[in-house]
Amino acid sequence: MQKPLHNVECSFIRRNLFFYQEYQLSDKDNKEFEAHLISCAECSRIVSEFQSVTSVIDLRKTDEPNPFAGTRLIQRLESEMESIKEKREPLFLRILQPLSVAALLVIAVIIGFSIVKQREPGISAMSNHQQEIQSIQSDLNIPDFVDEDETFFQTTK
Amino acid sequence: MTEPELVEGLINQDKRAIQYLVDHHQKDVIKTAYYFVSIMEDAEDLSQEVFLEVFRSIGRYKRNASLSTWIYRITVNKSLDHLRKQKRRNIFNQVKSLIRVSHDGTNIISKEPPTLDTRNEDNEKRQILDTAVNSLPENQKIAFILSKYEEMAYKDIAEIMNLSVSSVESLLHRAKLNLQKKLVNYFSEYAKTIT
Repeated sequence: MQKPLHNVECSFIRRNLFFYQEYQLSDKDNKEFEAHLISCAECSRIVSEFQSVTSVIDLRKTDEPNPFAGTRLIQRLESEMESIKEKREPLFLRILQPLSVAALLVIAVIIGFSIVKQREPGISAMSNHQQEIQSIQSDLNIPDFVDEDETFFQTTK
Repeated sequence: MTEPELVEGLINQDKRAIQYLVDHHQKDVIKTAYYFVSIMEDAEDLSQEVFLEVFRSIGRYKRNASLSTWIYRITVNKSLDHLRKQKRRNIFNQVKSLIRVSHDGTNIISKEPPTLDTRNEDNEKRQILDTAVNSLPENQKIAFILSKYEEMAYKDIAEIMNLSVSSVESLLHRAKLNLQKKLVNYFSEYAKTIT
């Protein structure tokens, strides 16, 4: 292999590939760098391959996204907006539904109680009426009617 | 539309604000994501995730950084998440392949580096560079991509990364040293395989 003639070592080249490419080396270092490349085939190959591979960076900058990506994104965001609205509604309903069911139950119980209360005076009036008949019966000493010889009613045997 | 108006519009789910946001930021988001993930379709999908995140968390946006800086941060985080998931998937697939190798007795994983002398030379170069960039520590990778691909000023990178400018300079310097070391190693290996 051809030996480098210059005093700069190969390691210097390999440590400064980016800085050489970006013109960040001092004039002196830049000159030595280039002089080394003339005398060292291996470093020259590495610099060339390095520049070839890193040129991909500029190449990639020219790649453009799909022109319809914006439309798709807008659609997605609008559907997200809709789903947010839908999520909000059930939350509202989740509170309102049990509340309305509970309110209906309470109303039904209240109505039930009020119906029972309305019927209670009628029931007590009936029982008062029976008590009155019984007291009259006992006062007049009227025995309970018993159809012993089955004159009026015939029992089936 | 000014930035406060845009933010207010997004909070109120104003369709014009959404349209404005997409028109003015989507391309940058896709391109940044693309520089990280290397596949345009993946970057486009990621941009949807980024904007959904922006849309969902706009109420929590603290106005101590510009909206675009905030969007860049989300983009970088989403892209890194994507790469991490991809890495996990790759490891899983490699383990699966290894298991298959041990069963079949044939090796599926090629250990040879890809050659440059193929028809698809640009793709090969992209692959080499992506592999090297992706092997950098995360912070170095972010600084390198934002500087070299996005051509951002150190000050802007520092704002996105929440670091000082000198830290960014140091990260970039180390990223370049690491990258050139990895690439030189690769070129030396490649030279050995063809001799």
